[in-house]
Amino acid sequence: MPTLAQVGPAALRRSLRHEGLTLRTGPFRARIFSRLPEVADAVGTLYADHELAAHDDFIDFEVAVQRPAGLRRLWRPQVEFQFDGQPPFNPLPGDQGFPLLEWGLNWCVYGQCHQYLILHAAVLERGGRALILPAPSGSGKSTLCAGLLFNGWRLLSDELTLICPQRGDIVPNPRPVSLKNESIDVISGFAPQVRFGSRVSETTKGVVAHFAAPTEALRRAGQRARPGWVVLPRYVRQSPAVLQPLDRARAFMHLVENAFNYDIFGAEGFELLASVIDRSDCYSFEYSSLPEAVALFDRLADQTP
Amino acid sequence: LYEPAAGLIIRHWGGETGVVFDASRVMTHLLDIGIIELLTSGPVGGSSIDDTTLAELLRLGLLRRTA
Repeated sequence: MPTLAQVGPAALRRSLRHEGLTLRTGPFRARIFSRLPEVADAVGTLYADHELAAHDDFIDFEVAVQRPAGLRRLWRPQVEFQFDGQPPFNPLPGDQGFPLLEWGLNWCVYGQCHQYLILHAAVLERGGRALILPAPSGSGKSTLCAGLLFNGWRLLSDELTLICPQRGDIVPNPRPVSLKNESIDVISGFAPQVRFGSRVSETTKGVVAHFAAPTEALRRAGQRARPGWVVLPRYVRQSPAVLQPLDRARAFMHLVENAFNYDIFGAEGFELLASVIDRSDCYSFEYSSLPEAVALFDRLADQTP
Repeated sequence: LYEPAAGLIIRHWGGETGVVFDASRVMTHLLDIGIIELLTSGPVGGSSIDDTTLAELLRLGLLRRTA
């Protein structure tokens, strides 16, 4: 199938307005509608290398980002996310269309796709092994993830780790990488080649900007990875990069705490996360310097047989 | 004497703690390795457990009176 870049901006806008733009994102297919030019521009830039799905393919999510009806659109426009024609969230300020689309697509995955056990965790791969970084917002997880993917690690996801219950391996779901606040400048300095989309300020998370998933990550989106490391990252101002072995049962509980749908899986979920821990080296990690952190993870990957 | 409640799945990896899944309540507990070993050793009682730990395990529903 062609990529979005091969379609061209006029056809992209037409699809978003009329029949819907059907994108492949990892194992999922999303049909997206929007009449908003800024959403079309961002989708065109940040999903340029994603494959399109055939229009008659099975669609996992049908979503839209539109202006809600009402007089308010005339003096303080808002944007609304719709899933199957229904808005699951309150509208947001009018310039937050693309971040809202991304948050909405994440919601679709963790709220609907219970064929996977899903963790709130960034995940990257090297040498066939997955590095799982479960952590809440503000921990430095996304910054570390972005730094690593510019240094030889393959992006599987910056936000949602999908674990296959049948095989216990990690299913890639590469999409645009979201950074916020100081992290945007940190990554701009660390990887000057990165091309961010528009910065959107005054979101609930502060300033947010995205960059496209690396082409290599998209090309290899069908290649799963076996669990290799579970690392709990934490940004600590002025801390050297310190990686400390973590008791595996404690690491297990961090996976549970960061799982979206563990309770749905019951005993199967317990055994599945235990199998992830069985196959992983577990650490806690504190850092303040991204280059130092990236160098340490390089050594970790090289030392692991 | 007490015994582990039905439907417990116990895992540990040789560290200071282990985890227990209680299928009847769909709850997961992180427990000290000493308690994990107690739960995996069979009937519990007498000098093998102190009163505080016993009360806590009964409260969590991880132990029950033997028949």
